Amino acid sequence: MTHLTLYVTDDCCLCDSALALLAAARAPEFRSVFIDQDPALAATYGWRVPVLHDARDAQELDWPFDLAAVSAFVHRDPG
Amino acid sequence: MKIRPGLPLAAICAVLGLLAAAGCQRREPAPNVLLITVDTLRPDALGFVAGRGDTPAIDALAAGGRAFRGAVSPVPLTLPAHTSILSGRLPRHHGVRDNGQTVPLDLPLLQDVLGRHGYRTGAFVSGFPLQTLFGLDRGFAHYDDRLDSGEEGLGRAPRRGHQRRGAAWIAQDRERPWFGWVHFYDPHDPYEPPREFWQPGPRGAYDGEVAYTDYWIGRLLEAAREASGSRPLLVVLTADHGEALGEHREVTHGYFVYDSTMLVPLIFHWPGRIAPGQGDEAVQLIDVAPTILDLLGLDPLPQTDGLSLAQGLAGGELAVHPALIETWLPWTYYGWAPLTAWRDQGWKYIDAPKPELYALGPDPHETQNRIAEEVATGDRLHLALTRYTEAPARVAATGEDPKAIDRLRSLGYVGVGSPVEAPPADRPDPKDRIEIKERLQVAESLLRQHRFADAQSVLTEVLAGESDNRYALLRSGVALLRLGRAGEAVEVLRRSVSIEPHRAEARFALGDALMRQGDYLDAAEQWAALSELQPRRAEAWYNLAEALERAGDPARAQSARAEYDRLKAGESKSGPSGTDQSKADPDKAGDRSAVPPAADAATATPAPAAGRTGR
Ligand SMILES: [Zn+2]
Repeated sequence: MTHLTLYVTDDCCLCDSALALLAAARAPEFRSVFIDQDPALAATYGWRVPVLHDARDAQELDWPFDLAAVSAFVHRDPG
Repeated sequence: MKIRPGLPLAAICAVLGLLAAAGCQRREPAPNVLLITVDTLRPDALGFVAGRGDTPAIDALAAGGRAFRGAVSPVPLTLPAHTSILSGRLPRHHGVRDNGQTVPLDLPLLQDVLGRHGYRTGAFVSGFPLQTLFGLDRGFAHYDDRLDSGEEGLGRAPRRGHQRRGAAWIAQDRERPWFGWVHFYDPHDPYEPPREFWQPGPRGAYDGEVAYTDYWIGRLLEAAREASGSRPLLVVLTADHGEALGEHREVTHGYFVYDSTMLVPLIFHWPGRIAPGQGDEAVQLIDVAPTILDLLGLDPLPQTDGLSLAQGLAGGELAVHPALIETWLPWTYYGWAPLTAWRDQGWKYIDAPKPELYALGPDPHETQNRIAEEVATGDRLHLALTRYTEAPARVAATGEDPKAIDRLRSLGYVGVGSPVEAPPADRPDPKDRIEIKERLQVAESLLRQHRFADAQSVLTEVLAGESDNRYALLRSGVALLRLGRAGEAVEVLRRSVSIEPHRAEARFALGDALMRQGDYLDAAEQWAALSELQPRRAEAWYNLAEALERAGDPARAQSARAEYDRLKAGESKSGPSGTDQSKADPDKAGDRSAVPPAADAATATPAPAAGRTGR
């Protein structure tokens, strides 16, 4: 089970940019959750997407992030 | 289980019998099926074929499954090849010979069969040629064909969202088996991978697109495995065609039928059911659907040209059979001869006006035409090809939507949407016209850079030598239109339409030019023709309504607008992510239209036609 989740919405070009950065960082498997279908998630993340969430320690990486930031985030070891 | 002494033997037998029967009924659950097609994928871009390249996900799939390094595509064009994959038929039998035609309504398709057997069906495609309006969505409960709106004109959709939506769709319902088809368009030109994925060497950008695609395929496979849980998962990965990358002076694909564009990788992966192995057997894309159905133990599709490879995948003999290959593109784009080829037992015969014969074993790049020396072999292959193609072929219509046709009839328009013309026999050999094709490529690239005057001068030059060149006529019409020379554009485009009455983009461009001239009734004729050719193209109906309105015919305009509204409402099929058609939110889905209603219909100038029709 993957610990990484990317919160996104439909038709969101920032989300596409985030996805391209995740690919460039060769991120391990992550889930994409489309928040538009969940009012609770929409309330939490609505204006923030794309947001990358690590379930191991509930750390989050908010947009805007660059390749270095996303790479460090997805390959870190929370210990 | 412990057997207590004293229990009557008959009772023990009865209990054991019941257990055995229960065991028989407890069959393995039906597997999920994931079909991945990578557009424009050469086998030698993959690590497991070339020994280089950066494709760990596909390489792992190949290592764990049965991988064919050179499967044969029947046609180097996106929509016809995918129609072959999903129907098991050759283009001459399913009828889709070119992009832009419509998949016939009576053609049995793989997704139909799987849906009838309780499969949840969903497709996630990118690229203009596979848009719903061309009909390959039939039978899929969910069909996501969203393009990045900014890129639509280029027929390109490098949106990363679509396979993520595919992954989300896969995970929705674990009770039912699913059949998911995910189509990746990235390796199609232009090659623009993120720079982290560029590969060394002269084709680094192309190989980089493949590496980038591989990363996403890896993510998709992990999601599919996770969502499958204990249910088996059959993965089939292949491509619609390859890419020439300069071989035979062809840059992309579609124009010739050499192996550089006809060979594709094909991988079947089902641990425990398919023994791992790799080979160069010339299996075919038309074998894919028959094989999937056979592996699942379901009835075959009727009248397929392809054969099931299931026995071969289980360790038996592989059903390798001769391949018939074709491309109509030289004819439909330029008015030159279409090409047909017969590929059998290491030989390939190309039935061009000047025929070609290649010994593929010693000459895999097809550089030595042996037609003069190997007369008997040439005759044998030519005869086999002729026998196979003697029966009349099918040509799909460019539009098959009865409701739309009725609507047009009620508006008083008479049909143009009969099938695209079958090519006459006496056309020039495409290999003798390669220089003109290269000139036209220059013009095309100038058009894409919006250098319309430069493009127009190249096109004028081509037309001076070949006045009926259909490609040059259409593109010249578009260039003149963009230069604001609507009167000249109308003149050129009228010739284009008279040569190619079924070319949707010619109708579009002429309709646009006539609108700009204020010739609304005549423009309406063109929009009506376009609506018939591509009945699910909403902008055609929108523009028809607009033209009729301006021509002072509000009643008919309203009727056309009703058809536009019906189409827009129907777009809920490719609604918001992760929802099946039945659950789609109609409000959201209604937001998506091919072209936003513009205040001025004349703004609906077509994007470059080659891009729109895509390849
Ligand atoms: Zn293609």
